[in-house]
Amino acid sequence: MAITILPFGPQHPALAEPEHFRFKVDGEVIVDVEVKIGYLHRGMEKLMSTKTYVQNIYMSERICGICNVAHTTCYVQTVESLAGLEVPKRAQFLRVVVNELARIHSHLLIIGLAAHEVGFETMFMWIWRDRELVMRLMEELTGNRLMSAYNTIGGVRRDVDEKVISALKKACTTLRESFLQIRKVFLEDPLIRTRFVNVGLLKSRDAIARSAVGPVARGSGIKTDVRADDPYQAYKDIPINVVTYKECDSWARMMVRVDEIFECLRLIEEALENLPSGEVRIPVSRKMPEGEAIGRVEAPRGELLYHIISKGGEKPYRIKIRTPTFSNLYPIVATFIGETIADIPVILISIDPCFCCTDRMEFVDVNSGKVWYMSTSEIKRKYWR
Amino acid sequence: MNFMPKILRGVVSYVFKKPVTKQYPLERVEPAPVFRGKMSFNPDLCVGCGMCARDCPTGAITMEFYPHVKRKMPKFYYGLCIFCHQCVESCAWNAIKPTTQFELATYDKKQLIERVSEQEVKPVKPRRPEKKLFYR
Amino acid sequence: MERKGNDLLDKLTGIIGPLGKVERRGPKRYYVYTSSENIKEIVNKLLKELGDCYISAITGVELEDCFRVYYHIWNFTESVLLSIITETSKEKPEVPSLTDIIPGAIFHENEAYDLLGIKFIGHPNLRKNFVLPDNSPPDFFPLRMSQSKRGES
Repeated sequence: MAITILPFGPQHPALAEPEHFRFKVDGEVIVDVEVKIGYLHRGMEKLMSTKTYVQNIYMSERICGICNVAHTTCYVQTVESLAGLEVPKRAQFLRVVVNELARIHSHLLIIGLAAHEVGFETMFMWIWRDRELVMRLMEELTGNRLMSAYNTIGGVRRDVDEKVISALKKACTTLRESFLQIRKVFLEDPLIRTRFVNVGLLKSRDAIARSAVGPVARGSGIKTDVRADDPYQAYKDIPINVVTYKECDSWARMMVRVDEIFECLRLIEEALENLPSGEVRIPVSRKMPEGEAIGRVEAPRGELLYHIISKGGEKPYRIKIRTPTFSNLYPIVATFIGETIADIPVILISIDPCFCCTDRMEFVDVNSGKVWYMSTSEIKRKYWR
Repeated sequence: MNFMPKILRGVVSYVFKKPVTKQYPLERVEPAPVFRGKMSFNPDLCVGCGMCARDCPTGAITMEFYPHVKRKMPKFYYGLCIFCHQCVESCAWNAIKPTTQFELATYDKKQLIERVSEQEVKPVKPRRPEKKLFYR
Repeated sequence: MERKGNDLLDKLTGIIGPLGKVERRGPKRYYVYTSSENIKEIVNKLLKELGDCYISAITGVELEDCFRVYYHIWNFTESVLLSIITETSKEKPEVPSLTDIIPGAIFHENEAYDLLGIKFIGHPNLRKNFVLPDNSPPDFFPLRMSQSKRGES
């Protein structure tokens, strides 16, 4: 049969994120994939080098809404290591609590979407009901449901009181109970198993060679987790167990996330149990010394890397951001080959794609072949008001 | 199918519960007390140092010059504001205070501009900062 | 802890030898300064002596007189991030591609080419407008300093 090209996206049937795939299909079977990224390219890296270190905290938060806590943690951690600052212990523990809460929220979102993708609407509703609880907790702790704005250079912006701590502990118990049931469904339910098991195989060797990170690598049996290998913040004091599955398929990647939620709940409880007293932030200088720093954080989707090059002063010279989906996209392209068209959404959802993370760098405005840059204040002056 | 009894128990328990949804505009919904909402600005406390405008990540705050008293005051444009409350933190004179007000939707963008009128601006008296700042 | 760091520094210096200069930049962060011809040999040696590595990121940056490329490589066995640093001239920015050794570098290299115009020799499919819009001109490299003036072309 002749090979047909099947364009897929930017408007997807599978997920609400703009990304273009061109599948070459032979009948039902995929023989080749091309991927075009860049629909959400917003010029963040260039824009960040024009703003001050304080303003960039909120810039980095806007790279990705769902993993905003991981982004700010990574950014402030890199700036702190650039300036040689030691954050108070209490702030480090609170950062762990917020990071793990955000991780639960992100994992619940993608597990719910996976259930939705295979047509298991009831489970989608169950999981998103629990996610609502997590978002309420985020609001009580940080001041907003999603955009936490909690981390700042030199610590965290607000302290917790006893009321929030007890609410968090209570929620951990509730979530664990309802999640034991969801785990059971993922382990046993025939609908989930037929759609996920043996779909999108990514062998261990391929995952290493193609540089997979996070749950995708862990689903292929590679024991890699930045929290364990390269501990940051209070993860030095709270040891974590790395969840790995050896099945290498989409089901293994989802199960890594399901099991990680229990690990997150344990980490939150342990961090709150051992919460040291004292200050939550220290005063810092607006000006940073000359130098370079590399920060790594385990975002919900995998390893996140910030590389800041400073030439002194209030603004960074260059910020390089490598987001987890950018690294995971190439490994997953290979897993499509040999699968059928019906499995595309399942494989895509199993890497937990976040394309607004993937495309960021330049602020480019292309109009009739001419390229120009504009700052927010210029746009404001020209078009608004 | 062995989790069927648990589902049924859940279904029965939800029959006797009140609906979770609230009739929002008719019924007040209060956000958490720490929620970051609109800022309230007190022109009497402001000295016009401009740190709020300098730290604002989106440029929602601009400093406006009032010639009759020869001083500057911030002007807030809530259409650009992302409610990070960095300005609250940067204000050493406690002139910008946080509130939990979130109902800002409007048909007219001009209503989102909040500026101090000419009558309200008084000449500035030099004072010492009232709170500890974390960015120096 | 510090003892272990020095051991690793000695080990890395032993592996890399005269090909580059190793420097410790904090816990689990090592910089390897080298010239662009030696990169492939260094990565091959690291893979052979240290075990599995994956490419974490590639940073390209334009300095006053040259382009600098950082290959951030994470090693699983030693749990260490090695940043291999090389410099290339502004007139002819070319560095060898690592795609035949670590295939995962393919997207990172393409991104660096798209935004900075650093050519990776040996890359199988180095194309412009990888992340930029399709209609942006072929000589437009937004992360270069010449493009940093705002408000004009």
